[in-house]
Amino acid sequence: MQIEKQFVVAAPADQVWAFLTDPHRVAQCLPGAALTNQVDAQTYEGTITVKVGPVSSSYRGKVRFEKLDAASRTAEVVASGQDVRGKGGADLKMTSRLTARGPRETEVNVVQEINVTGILAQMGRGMIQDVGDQMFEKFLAAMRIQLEPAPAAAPGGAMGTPGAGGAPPAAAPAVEPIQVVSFGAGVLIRAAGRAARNPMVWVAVAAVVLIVWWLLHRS
Amino acid sequence: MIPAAFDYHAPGTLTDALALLDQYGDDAKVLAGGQSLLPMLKIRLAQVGHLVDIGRIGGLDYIKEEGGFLKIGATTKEVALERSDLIRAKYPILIDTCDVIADPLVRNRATVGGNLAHGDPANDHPATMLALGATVVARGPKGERTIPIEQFFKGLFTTALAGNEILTEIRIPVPPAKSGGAYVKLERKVGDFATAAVAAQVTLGPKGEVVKVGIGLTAAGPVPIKATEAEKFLTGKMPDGATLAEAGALAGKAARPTADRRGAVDYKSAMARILAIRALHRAVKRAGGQQ
Amino acid sequence: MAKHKITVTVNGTAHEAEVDARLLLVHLLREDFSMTGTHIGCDTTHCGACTVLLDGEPVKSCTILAVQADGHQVMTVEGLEQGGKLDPIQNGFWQEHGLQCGFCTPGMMLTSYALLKRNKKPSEDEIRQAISGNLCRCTGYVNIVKAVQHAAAAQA
Repeated sequence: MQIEKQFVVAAPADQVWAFLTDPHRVAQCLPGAALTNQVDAQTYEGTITVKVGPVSSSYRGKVRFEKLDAASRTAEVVASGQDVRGKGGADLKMTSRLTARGPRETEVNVVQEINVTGILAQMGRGMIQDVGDQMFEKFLAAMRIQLEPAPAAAPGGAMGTPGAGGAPPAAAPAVEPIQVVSFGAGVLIRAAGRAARNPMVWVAVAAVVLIVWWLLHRS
Repeated sequence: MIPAAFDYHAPGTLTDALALLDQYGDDAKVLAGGQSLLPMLKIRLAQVGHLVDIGRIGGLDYIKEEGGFLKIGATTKEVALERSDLIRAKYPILIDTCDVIADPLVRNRATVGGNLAHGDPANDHPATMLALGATVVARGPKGERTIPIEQFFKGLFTTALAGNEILTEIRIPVPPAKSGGAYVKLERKVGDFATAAVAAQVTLGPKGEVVKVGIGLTAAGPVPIKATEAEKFLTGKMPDGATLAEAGALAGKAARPTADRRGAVDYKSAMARILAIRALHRAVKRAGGQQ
Repeated sequence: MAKHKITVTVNGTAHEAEVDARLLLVHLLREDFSMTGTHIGCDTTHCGACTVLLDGEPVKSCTILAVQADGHQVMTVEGLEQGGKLDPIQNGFWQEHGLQCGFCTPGMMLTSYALLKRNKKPSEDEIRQAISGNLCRCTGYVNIVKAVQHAAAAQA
């Protein structure tokens, strides 16, 4: 299954790239995501628990960053995970590209190829896209809070010059659990190269889609 | 297949049930008819630590008209709606809906409240309740509150009910004279979820024009969908064939289904359009006094 | 997880059991009470092979917890025969060849039994509606309908 997503962030491309390749900042936008182990410079292990109503799934997986090209701001991520209760698994290949559309506007294009196995693959995948979309929206909203200029000064968050969006205000509010799901796990990520940047966002998106895929089934 | 282990509680009063939900929080789930929840537990798609069975709480199943509303208790079984003389006579849209919910065996256990509270956009009552402009009554530790049905469905398996609230009643405003409604569902076989389904409720004015209309779509998105564009278009117009066709097309556009074995996206949307037209025709006919 | 002490009256006889909360009614009947006339067909609440009567209404026993049946009356296919005499519904299925493999038959008979209690002279459409929750892979339903009509006529 291929899913394409496109979104625009009101922040300079450099900052979006910096954010998206910082595993800690991205993890903040994925409530419940947790990195458990760094395998090597490019690989992380983690877990994530997603709950949609009475349906909850816990996944353990690995994310490997295949390519990370800061010049073209392109990243390719390969992720795979297994449900800890044996419900199935999924593999994901995600390619993302940032394009500066303006001094404070960045377009992010993501193409994901997903393969799901196990009981969740058999059980109606119709809802997977729905939940995936919702989770994606929540993640984006959380990311925007981090990146886009706040309407008013963040409380207690003296962050230097106005318009500086490099780092989130110190008093950034804790991201509320995604309405539909409450995350409780971490995602495996594989950081690439020197930059020690991790495309968590793409991994997160991938994880979101994976989780959604696993969650929904209809007979 | 067998559910993963859980603790089971069968409180005798609503107060006790609410206390249990409060106590166990996220780990608890209400069990009513169980015809949606138990299948999910059996294949372990869902897990729960504590099941709070409200089936033994008296006084929650009733069908009555009171104060300008049709009031249905949350644990009223679907079969009770089907067999109610009041519903058969005055609310054929609910009979239409019940007739296509799963099968007769399931309907002997499934509850109307559960059909809404489960939060599955493929359940049938949500679209009908959207068309009827219903209100949901919820009881929590702080007391009772009402939730308009348009604000009730938040996401997949997620409603506006807090974890420590129980849906106790559904209120439907008694439709004025010259009103009629219908629910039309396309399914692959008896008992299946909808490939597409539409609920339509209309009220006609003195000249036969549509003064009020509600259209709800089943299995057309992550939540049950209210086709507001179609409703706005149709209000004030004479319900002739061309107008209803246009309204149906707008309802079809409001559908955003996902593809599965029941059909591709464009097929399901096309069916939503067709069924909307049929539901509207039937609703208008019933509003005019014909069946 | 705690066990629950329950009492379920099956075919007129009270049975006690101590069960896990998650035990399904169909397993209580088949395993604990050794009444294997009730069958498990699909496990996904579709087929109705597990149909029993709960307080007189046909239900899918695979989608009911044993604890939910505590204090209630259950009728299984074993309860149709009374004093060595076949119930008219059983006779109808026999006479009209309303079964081939017989797997759906207990459920079909109980659903039909309940129908005839509510509606002594069901039309063909009403019969087909009533059994629409019971799936049969063998017969094509034609003889099942005839069996129910046979029983209705016999009880008239």
